Amino acid sequence: MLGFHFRHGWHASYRRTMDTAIARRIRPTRPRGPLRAGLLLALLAAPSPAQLSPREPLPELELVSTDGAAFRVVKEAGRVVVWRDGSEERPKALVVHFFQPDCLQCRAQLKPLDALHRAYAERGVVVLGVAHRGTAEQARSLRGDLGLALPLAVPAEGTKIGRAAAGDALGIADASGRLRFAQAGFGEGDEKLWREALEALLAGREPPRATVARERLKAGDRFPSVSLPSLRSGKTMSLTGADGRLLFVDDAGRATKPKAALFFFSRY
Amino acid sequence: MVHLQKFHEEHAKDGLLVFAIAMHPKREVARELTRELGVTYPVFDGLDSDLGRLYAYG
Repeated sequence: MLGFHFRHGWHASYRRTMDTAIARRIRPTRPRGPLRAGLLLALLAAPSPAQLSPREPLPELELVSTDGAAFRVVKEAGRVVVWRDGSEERPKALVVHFFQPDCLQCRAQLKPLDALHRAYAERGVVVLGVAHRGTAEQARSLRGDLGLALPLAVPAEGTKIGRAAAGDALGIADASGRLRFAQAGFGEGDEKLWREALEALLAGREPPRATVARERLKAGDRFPSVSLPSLRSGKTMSLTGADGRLLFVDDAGRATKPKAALFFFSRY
Repeated sequence: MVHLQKFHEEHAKDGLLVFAIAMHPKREVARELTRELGVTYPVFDGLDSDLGRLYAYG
């Protein structure tokens, strides 16, 4: 049975919680009957509902662009204002993508975001990528590798983005700074949803979808048996349940009975 | 992936199985990445699998 810990992305604070949970599963402090194999889920690719939330305000951001210039997203007199390098812009809509430079999925998302920037910049939309756990150098390198034109920035020294950016998240805010669309993670074809949201906002309408929701595993679910090739060798590995215990057979045919398992779906 | 490698190194001897289900659209890239990052726990190839389609997202 699946345990708990349902996270999106990775945050240093998760380590403590997971250490405790793992210790309880595999080294119980109280004597008890035969250990049951528990499955402890740490789904690092799962969206967390506590991130960007539609109808809430986008957090104000104190950033530094990859060129080293100050970059701020603030709210003034009911309007979102983007300050960069001494100039001010009051966009009709703002798309903010929080990402990690070493995340391949995030990198895959940046190309269609760049296309969005190129298509909508002249229509008053600011599209911004914030490398919330990376360095300006990493973000600059990414710009060069991917040929990006959209603005990229990192949090200003001493500031934190907070829970809004745990993992990766994308938000589209209207001119007042209210989030009208929120998404965690990325799937092919999502750029169509972003364009639908922007076209609706620019026309003064409600976006057709406020969030991108996907099926997810829940604590308490019974994880299905897995029999798939090893990414390394191509030979089959399996994880099944037998007599109330997990049974793992690796690609060399060696079988073990783990006390608990920690797994994640990884796009990178 | 790197963070989970630490869990694997610290707790494998205690009976914890750490594994990943790789969903990267390019297997070679995912394979290379696991090598570069020094990942030693099992990684299933989840691309095109029913499991991946059902549960993977983000």
